[in-house]
Amino acid sequence: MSNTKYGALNGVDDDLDGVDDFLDEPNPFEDSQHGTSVSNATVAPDLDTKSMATTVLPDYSEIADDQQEPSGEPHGEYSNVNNGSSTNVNNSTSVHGELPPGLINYYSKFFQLSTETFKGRFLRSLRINQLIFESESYDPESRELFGAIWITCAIVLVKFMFPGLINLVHYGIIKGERISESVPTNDRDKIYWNLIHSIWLFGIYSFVVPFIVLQIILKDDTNGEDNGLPQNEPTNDAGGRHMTINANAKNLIGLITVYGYGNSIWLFILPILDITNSIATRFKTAIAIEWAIIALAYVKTAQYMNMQICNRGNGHVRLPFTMIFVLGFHIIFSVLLMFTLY
Amino acid sequence: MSDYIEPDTPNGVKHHSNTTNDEILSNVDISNPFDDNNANSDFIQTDTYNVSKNSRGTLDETILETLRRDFTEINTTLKKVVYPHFPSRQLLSSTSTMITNESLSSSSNSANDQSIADISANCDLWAPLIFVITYSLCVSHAHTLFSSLFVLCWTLLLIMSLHMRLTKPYENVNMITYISLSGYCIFPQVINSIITQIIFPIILKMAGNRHWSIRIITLLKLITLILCELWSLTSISLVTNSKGFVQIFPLGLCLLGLGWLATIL
Repeated sequence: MSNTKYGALNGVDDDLDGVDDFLDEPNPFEDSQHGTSVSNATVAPDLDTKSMATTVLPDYSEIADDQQEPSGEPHGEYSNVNNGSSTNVNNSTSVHGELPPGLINYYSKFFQLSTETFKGRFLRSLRINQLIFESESYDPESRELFGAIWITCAIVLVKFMFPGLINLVHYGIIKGERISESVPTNDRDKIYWNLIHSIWLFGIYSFVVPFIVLQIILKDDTNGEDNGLPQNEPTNDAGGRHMTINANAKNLIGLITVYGYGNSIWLFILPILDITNSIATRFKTAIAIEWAIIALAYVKTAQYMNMQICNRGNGHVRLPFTMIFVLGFHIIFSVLLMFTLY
Repeated sequence: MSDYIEPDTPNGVKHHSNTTNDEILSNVDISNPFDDNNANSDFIQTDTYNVSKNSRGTLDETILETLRRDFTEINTTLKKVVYPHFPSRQLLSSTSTMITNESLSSSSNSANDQSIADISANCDLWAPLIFVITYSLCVSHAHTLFSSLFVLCWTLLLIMSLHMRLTKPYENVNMITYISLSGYCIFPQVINSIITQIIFPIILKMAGNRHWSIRIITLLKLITLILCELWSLTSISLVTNSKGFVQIFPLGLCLLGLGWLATIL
């Protein structure tokens, strides 16, 4: 500390044992490996001088480009990543420069996508006959978990909010009645039960079913992946059959991405079902309408799954064995959704 | 050895009778470091934080004084994190510009980094704990739902922090700081819960539960929800330097969940 006043205060000996007796000793907790950060460090001036401490910040100039253009790669130069665990990250980084899966930063590569990419995939997932991935070839950077996780969370929240919103508008604003008196307790409790049901239902469908489907895909894929890497182009096997599985669907993250974006249709279907469900007490035909809507959503999602998982490389499309399971799981999901949430 | 117990604060140096030390101290400015009027002093500017932290836990002050100081510190952080970001017209336009243009100017970026570093240096979990307890008490009316809401609030704070860590691995901010910042940013949700669960029912009771009053209160509930949601979202996105739909959307979802619970429960 170069401040003379501070130094003068440090020189005061109070004749008592304390920290001031060890000020000249080297700090045993000083991190020698922190040298890289310190070398690049700049001292940030205080914005609010009344209460803030001087803070040492690393210089981000060298990694600014990486930050502006995030890629899906594991970033071998992860030694610069995060302050609190930078030492751990450095120590834990494998020989190949990849982080082990036990660290949080390992998963950050699955969350590095731009807003344009996300919007593009979301919109393509709603359209017919469009791939959510930019190409059918194997591309590790195209895989991400952001869409799967947050689209699923948004669906759960929409399912939780919309029935309550309908009650609020119908009873609170239109009728001018208190919801606690107008809506039966069972109906209000049903909203919270539906929240729990939607969490496990969409959670299992988005993250567990892809794992099961992947096992089936790996068995169904007759050409196999001898070297453990997906093949880029459709090829003929000895029997003259075509590779029928999209390369991006041959790994867990890619398949979770497919399933996650496939859920986006429910963001619009569930509110419609909630509206029809609210009038189902008066019009019995509303139940038939609900099943019709579910069937339409099923067809749309089944077409989406077929588009994303099946490869159309040579124009010859054979419905692979895997798709039977994919569509079967989807039927179970749709029926369960109808029975548990409505 | 005298019976005098030395206080932890530098004020204690006044009580030394050692002649040598007195000589040293005669050259030192020992004015009250907590006095804001002395903000021009370099020593105070750089070490106010250290002094403030050193003064914590002293035994020679009343509980009331300790509480008052803690609340003052929380309020000081709220002044930086939450209060300035109330969704005014001007702020909303600047925020929307920020969301559409993902890259801010370098000057505002550096200012944000410094701001985050400043707040990070003073991050604490006391304020989030107080806010979470207040929110849970208001929404649950101190009934059995309290524990569920308490756990839910901390889970959402953890999820928001994890999201920010995952989407911004190069930021020099750790998880605890993100939890603290997120905790401060649920302050508008606490206000929302107090208004919708305590103030509105009282007004409704005074108005006599008439149809028109229920309609107005329901509308006001929705307006309060939207305002507090925007307030929280603006605060958390500005203070954590979150830009773009990908970074802000999950934060909005979590905060909307909290706000909606306060509105309908």
